[in-house]
Amino acid sequence: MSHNKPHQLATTRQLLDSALVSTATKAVLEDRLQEKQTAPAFLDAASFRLLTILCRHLLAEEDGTRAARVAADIDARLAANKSNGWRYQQMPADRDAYALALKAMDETARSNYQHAFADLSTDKQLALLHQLQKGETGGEYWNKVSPLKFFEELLCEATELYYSYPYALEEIGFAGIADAQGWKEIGLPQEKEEDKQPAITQLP
Amino acid sequence: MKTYANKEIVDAVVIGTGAGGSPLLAKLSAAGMKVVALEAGPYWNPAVDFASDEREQNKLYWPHERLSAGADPIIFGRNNSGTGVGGSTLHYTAYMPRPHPEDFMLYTEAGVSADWPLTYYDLERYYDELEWFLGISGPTPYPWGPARKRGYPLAALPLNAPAQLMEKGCRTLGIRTSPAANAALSAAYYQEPIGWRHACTNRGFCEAGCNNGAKASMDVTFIPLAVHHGAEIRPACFVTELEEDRSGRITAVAYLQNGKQQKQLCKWIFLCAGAIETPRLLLYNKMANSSNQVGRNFMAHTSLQLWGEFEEETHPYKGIPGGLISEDTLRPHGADFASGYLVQSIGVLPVTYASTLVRTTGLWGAALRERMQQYNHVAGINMHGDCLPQPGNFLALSDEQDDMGLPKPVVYFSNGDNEKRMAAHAKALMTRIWEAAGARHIWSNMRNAHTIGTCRMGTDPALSVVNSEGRSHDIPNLYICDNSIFPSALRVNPSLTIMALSLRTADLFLAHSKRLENASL
Repeated sequence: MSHNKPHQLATTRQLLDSALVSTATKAVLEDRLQEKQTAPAFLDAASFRLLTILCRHLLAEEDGTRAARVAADIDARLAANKSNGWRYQQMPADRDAYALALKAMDETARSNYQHAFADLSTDKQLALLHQLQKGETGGEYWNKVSPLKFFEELLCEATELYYSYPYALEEIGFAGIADAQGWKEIGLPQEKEEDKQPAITQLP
Repeated sequence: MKTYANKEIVDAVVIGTGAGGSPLLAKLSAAGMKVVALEAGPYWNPAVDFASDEREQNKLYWPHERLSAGADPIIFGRNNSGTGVGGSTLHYTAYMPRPHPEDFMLYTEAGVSADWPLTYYDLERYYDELEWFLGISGPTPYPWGPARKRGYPLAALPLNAPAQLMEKGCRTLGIRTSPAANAALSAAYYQEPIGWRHACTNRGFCEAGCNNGAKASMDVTFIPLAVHHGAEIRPACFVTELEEDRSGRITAVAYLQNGKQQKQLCKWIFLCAGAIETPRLLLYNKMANSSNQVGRNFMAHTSLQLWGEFEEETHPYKGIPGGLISEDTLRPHGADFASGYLVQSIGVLPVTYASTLVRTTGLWGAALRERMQQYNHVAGINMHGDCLPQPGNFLALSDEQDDMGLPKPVVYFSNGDNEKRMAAHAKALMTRIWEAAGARHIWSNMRNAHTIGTCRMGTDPALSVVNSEGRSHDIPNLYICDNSIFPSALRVNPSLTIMALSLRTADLFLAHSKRLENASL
């Protein structure tokens, strides 16, 4: 398989300055690239710190500010009490689900390792996350919220948010933001168009 | 745009501006009726409001929470209903296959589901009218189904990489394929009084909002036609109540507009809010339900998706997502299930792909990041198959209230044996197609798409909510027109048939009201 060619013709920032990105798209992405305050508005400080660590592991994102942005996006949604239009009936309302599950995660850490989740080694944190994914957390703190469904919902929300950031889209070579003039060569093979179109590289 | 006062008794109020409400709205206003359309969502200006960004475009999806239950809970959100003038057509893929005559007669054919109280041939002329009004791009002749009066008005759209890969895989296996019929323009299209609509530029954002009017969503087709003929479109109006007089007729529609309670007086009501909101409104108003069938017979297509990675770069965000179709599986030979399915190629935007990937496979961490590196090599293949109604699949009101104080709907859904066998059949076939096309790392996600049923149409008032004309058996001046009235799920994407029913309902209603008028003279 021809692995990712280095995308070296342009960067997101260069694209944003070009006529290849529509005004509406540009406004949205410029805003998303802004550094933002990531203090929580809904979760308490300890829960927010825990959520940030979970996001860091789920997304394998070593850059702490990027994981914190995802956690802050989740927190902001909960603060605004916004829904994505549905939830599993067996789950509590989103606010309660997050608040309960994050507390339960911490309780599980204390019961297994006598420390708060945030104070555990990376290995132990990852082991707990694997337990959560399998629904094997046990303990009465999980009586009100399904660990399986919470893991699924958290993973989905964190993933969707992460891949809404230009640096994540750039990493996978998504050039769909630069479609103001549309695409002409859409089939196989696409070598010709690659020469014409700016592909995406790392941010400077 | 013409406007009407709340106190004026307008001829009709249409609730919802999607595929069910918009065509009849245009037809009623063209017939000289005073019509007001109430739409829960905003009136978008796609050229300015729509970004090439999936997260931003979440604003097109119905935001009020639904509760999903059963063995296979329905995932709402980006797949299953829209908000804004145009309804779900704002985010539909605009796939426009016609059902086949046998799809309307599943009970006669196989002793399951229900026959429609009308036939394919009752809708045929409306399919034709829609194909030419919307400007559908597609192959002529179309390889499956009855012969047609005329072909599609525009040539098929160009095939993107997923479509070419499916063509290759199917060719190897001897399966017939064809470019699909799509309600997106392959060339500029002119119509009075709408004017020019631009050709599709292959952005691939159909499911997140077309920004140039190439896709025939209602806001760029029937809505401007309706406005031209004097209809009023009232956005941001959430209908809460249908007021009845002592004779059992509805006399007014109450709604919340920016948090303020309003009321529109009217003679006729067309409820076109989709298979979730339509029964929900009737249930909390305790109306039109002497049959106890409101909310029952909920169906959702058997719509398994199969994904793979290819040597070639596929750039799956380019082009209309569903480029290629095969209907060779209309009634698969020797199948252990009733009815059948269609197969289509699919492209995908990255957030949707990542979300589906993690929900299905549970992949996370470094494994997820690595898998996503292959995004530009991904292509998908999808089925839409019939779904049989079952007693355990229904919509009810929950004890929870939403932000407007109205009960949230809870939707129970579990796939039955027929759906499971059909999905297994399709998965085996689609896997062979994808292997023949050169796919690696194949994985699939079982899902159910399109919300159908809940206010069934039928001839027996004890077993159905509306009659064969779409009028309530209980309330003489209430019509329902959306996917809720489908007696069976059909085997194809529903929008074209919803629109055809809408045009037919308008014609039948105009004849009916004329008869009533003559009788009272």
